[in-house]
Amino acid sequence: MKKLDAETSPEARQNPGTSSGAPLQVRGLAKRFGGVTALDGVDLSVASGEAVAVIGPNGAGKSTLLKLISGVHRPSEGEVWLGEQRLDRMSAHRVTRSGVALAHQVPQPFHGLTVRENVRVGAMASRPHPHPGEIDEILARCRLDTKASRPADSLRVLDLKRLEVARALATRPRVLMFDEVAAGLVGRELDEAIDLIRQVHGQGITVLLVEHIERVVRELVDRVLVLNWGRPLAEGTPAEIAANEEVRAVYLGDGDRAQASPARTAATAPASDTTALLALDSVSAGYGDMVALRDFSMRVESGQIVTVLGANGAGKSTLCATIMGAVEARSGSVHALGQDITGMAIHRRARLGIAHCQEGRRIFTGLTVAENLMLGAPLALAKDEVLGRMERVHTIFPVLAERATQQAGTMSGGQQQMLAVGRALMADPQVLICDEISLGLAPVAIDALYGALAEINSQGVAIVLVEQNVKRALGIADHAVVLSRGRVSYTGDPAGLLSDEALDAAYFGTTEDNIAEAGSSSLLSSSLLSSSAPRPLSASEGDPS
Amino acid sequence: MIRTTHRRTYALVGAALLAATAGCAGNASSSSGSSSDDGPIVIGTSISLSGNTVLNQIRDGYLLAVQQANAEGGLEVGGKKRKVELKVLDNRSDTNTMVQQVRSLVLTDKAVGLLGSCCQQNIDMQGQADALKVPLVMGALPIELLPEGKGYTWDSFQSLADGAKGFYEVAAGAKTNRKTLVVTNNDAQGTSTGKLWAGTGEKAGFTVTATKSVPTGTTDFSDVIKAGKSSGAQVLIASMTPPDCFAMWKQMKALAYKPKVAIGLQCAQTPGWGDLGTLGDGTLVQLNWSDTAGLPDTDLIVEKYGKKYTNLTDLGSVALGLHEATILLDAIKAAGSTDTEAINKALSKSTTVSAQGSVKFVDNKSVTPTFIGQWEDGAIKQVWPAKGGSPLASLSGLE
Amino acid sequence: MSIDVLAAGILAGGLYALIGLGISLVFGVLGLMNLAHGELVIGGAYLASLLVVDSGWDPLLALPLAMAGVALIAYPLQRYLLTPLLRGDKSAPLVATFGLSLLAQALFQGGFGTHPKSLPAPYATSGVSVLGLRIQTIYLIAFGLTVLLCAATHLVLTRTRAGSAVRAASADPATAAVLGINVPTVYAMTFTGAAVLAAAGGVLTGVAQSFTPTSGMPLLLTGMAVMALAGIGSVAGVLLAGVALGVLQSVSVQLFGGGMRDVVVYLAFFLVLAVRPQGLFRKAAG
Repeated sequence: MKKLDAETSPEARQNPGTSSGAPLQVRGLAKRFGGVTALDGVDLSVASGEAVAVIGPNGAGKSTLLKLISGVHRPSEGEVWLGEQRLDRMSAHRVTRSGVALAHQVPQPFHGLTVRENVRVGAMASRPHPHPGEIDEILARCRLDTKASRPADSLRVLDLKRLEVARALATRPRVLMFDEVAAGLVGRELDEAIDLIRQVHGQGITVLLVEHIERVVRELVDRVLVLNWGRPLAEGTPAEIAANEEVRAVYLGDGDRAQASPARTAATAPASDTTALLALDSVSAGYGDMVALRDFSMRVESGQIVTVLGANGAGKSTLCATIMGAVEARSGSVHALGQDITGMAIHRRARLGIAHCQEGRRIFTGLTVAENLMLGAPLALAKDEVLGRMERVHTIFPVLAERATQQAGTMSGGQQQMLAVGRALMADPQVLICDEISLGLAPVAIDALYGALAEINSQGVAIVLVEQNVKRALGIADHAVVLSRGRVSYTGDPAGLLSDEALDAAYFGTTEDNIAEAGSSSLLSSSLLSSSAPRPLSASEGDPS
Repeated sequence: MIRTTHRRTYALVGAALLAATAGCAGNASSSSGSSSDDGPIVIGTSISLSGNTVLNQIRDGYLLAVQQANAEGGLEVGGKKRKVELKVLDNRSDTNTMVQQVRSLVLTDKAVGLLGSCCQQNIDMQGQADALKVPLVMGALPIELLPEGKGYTWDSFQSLADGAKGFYEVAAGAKTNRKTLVVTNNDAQGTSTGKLWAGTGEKAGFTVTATKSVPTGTTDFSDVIKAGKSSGAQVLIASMTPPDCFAMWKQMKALAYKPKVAIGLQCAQTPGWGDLGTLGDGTLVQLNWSDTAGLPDTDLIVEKYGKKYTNLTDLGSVALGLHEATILLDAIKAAGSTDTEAINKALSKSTTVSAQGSVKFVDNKSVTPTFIGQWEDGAIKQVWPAKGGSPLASLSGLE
Repeated sequence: MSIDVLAAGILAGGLYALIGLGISLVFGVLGLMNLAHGELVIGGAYLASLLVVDSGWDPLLALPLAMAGVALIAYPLQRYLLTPLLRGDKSAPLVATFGLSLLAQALFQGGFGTHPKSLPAPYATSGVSVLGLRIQTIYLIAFGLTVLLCAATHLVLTRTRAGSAVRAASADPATAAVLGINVPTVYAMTFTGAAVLAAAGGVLTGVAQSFTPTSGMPLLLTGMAVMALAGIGSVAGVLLAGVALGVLQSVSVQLFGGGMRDVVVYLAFFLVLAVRPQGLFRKAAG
């Protein structure tokens, strides 16, 4: 598909010539933050009135792309054009005035202002200012007319998203970009969100979607651009993309089960009377109105590797945060090492022997590698013991010894990830939670990391492995849990997920509505994207509804 | 001069005080009085008891006078003796609060006479007394500084000129080259004090060889000291806030500038000067009271407050308070009435003899004596006038 | 421009730096503008005065005790009052420190009276000759001690595990907590460290100058100016900024007279804020 990519670029550029209005053109766009390349060589052409989606796993550079187009960030390379106007050198507010608006994933209303005032502020970017009637019209279109004089803070999630769109519309955009606006919506809310975007598109506004939810993409756009690692991976119709093996690999991982854990012998099946090292019982958690994890139960026995899988937004990171205490469990209980830790402070959980290797590495970039490692060990620990642990980490990750005095931020992504895992190991944990540690890494780096995980586990550390890289994770795990929209859709032997059908069923739900809507395209039912399934159909447990 | 702490007005401090004090009342008196025929005679004061300026000593003097009067059964008004009630309100060094409190004292509490606070607040209070047509007796404001009013404000305090005159008499007695360094804060009071003292000095045969003005809060006086050294000044007149004087005295010593006579106006009379130890010895101060000058009620003041206040400055403030309140109480007695006009009229004819000497108002002003004191072994001794004073010692702290 | 003007400025700048360092530390790690910092400084001076004025100790002997005393007050204050407030609205702890500042002033006034106090010491009033310049000994001592304390702070922050915990909690408190670092304790320790520095500055100020219950505010303002000049996150920068401020004051008095001292200083302050908001001695972030 990469070769296709090279060919499509010039083609794509000719594309908009066929339609009138101002096409949005992105040419050779690249963005580097320090040493990290967030986006590289992206070409995209959106004809006037077209609807295009950009998809890709976490860290693929989707949001960066939107921010570059909307002028929030300045590209390191490349150009952005809207018709004859070059946008990439404009400041954000001038980009907005030129007719490009962005609706954010997390709504950002002005607190203390009413809904109408919020929209009016959005309208200040457009020249001439819209008259009050126009604002009323926008409010009505976004179904906010009855709530116009309410304070924005009082809105629920869906209405906040509507407000976000209304504010964007008030700038009279020619291109409206949606950054995962459907995230966190379920059921009818999702339908309404899709309706709203469709309606916007129907007005002739060019739509650029960044989306994880497959149904949104499928129902709204004609063309999909897949990004991975900041680079374009594929481009095509939703159906084409769904059938693309390479895209599939990106989403489900590249692992070869046979190779992933050569040295590892599976932990013996736990006897039923042993107390679990870590046990979650009917835990629910979330943020504000959103429930990200519903009635979740899981047990991790000592020496086990349990993998938690699921699409973006399935609740995996919320699960990690709930185990660690960064997110409060709204109901249910968390037990670890024989203690009820449901209400325990984060640092006390860490000292108890739970180490959390957070998504995005979260290393201290300003500190040296050695300082980062030492921070993983308890402060009260004797210096000898700290050095001893450091040596053990160095045996697992020799590169960390070589770079001990280097500033952590100057290392490559893979090395930073190793540092993050190494730092977690410095606590000498009994349970290691790894959240998306293979994200954005080259296969060779992932190999090294997974090799290290096997070794760590062989030393008796139980691992909770949260992954998008399904194949890799299944290859090493003793037990697998799949989350779908905050609920457990599969729990059991990883072998039960080995077939593509079984995996799809657990991951995305083999839902009737998918099939029905997809019509003849059975490929879409095994789509790579997230599912619109309102309920899990597989070996789910503990679903009260 | 009463000046208990420096009065730097940082915007933030001001805001702080406003924020902190808005809404909390500072009423030190409890029972609500009235000046009806049977109840006690109410007099009142809005005085600064917290914030930048704290005048507890003056308040104590006021209370002492009222105690004395009540111990004799009160004041005879309209043929019968009535007790006196003094309402004390703390205006927390805030002028707006003071204005409110004065109005409430007169209009709500029916105070028939008012007693002052200090310094600039006294000037501001004059307008209130004139507007309310209630007599106000005050001290702690040099009589030269009392603006012309409508005749309801009576100021019994030192004259600025007397202090300067006294100082130069003292300085003339010491062996100096009569070359003088004047250093003041660069505010209005500092500037006018500097001018007045320089003018008086020229007449007394002294030469001002260097004049410096510094902002309050100055900690580095090296350029002032350099000017003193290079001009050969052996007489030093400093009129600054206490922290400024503290820093300058330390630096003078360290940089070996050795004037023969030095006075610290506004600053050296603070009891904290004793903390300087031997460095403070020999420094001259201007006082409004001395326990060795044979003033009336000296024994009473020392007996009642000698333990609480161990230095001349604080006791002088008690004397000042006692003096002011006695003038007002005497006037009520002389008027034989609680009618404010009658009391005001009686004040103009006041012949009170109290802690600060005898009173005779001319243009609403009555001069009280001025003393020059000198620090020695952690205490201030009167050195001028010679009557009741000790001989001048050398400026040993800076030698 | 004579050399003694510069020398006086540099030496006075040492004290400014010492006070600015504590403010900068708390702001850098906790993100809290401690408006009660001036009172911590003055509190140190008052604690020392109990030993110096009342019991006749040498101020430099009283200094460590004053530092310890202020630390004992500062730790619970941060741990049990300010840290819980930090979790909520950012303005709550700011207002709280303002309240503490006023409360402390009232306590000083009640406990020690309003009269200015000073810590007598032989070196407060003695001078030494350095390169032909006569210098007040206490300023030399203060400068030396400041450099020492700055160096110690720098070493603790960069060479010890506790120091890297502080820097970690500053950079990413959430991750620090995940690593088992008790962030509230780190905050309290940092605040205590700043208070200890403040107390040292207070004792030195008390010896060199004097103090009253309300002298904290001007010290706070000076310290804030130092922090603004220095930017956040560099101990050496704070020292340089303090010296720069001292020299600026000294030179401006020499050139424009005493009346312009504060004007020039705050003009510089605003200029730096406008032109280099990240501070003079710090590279722009990102």
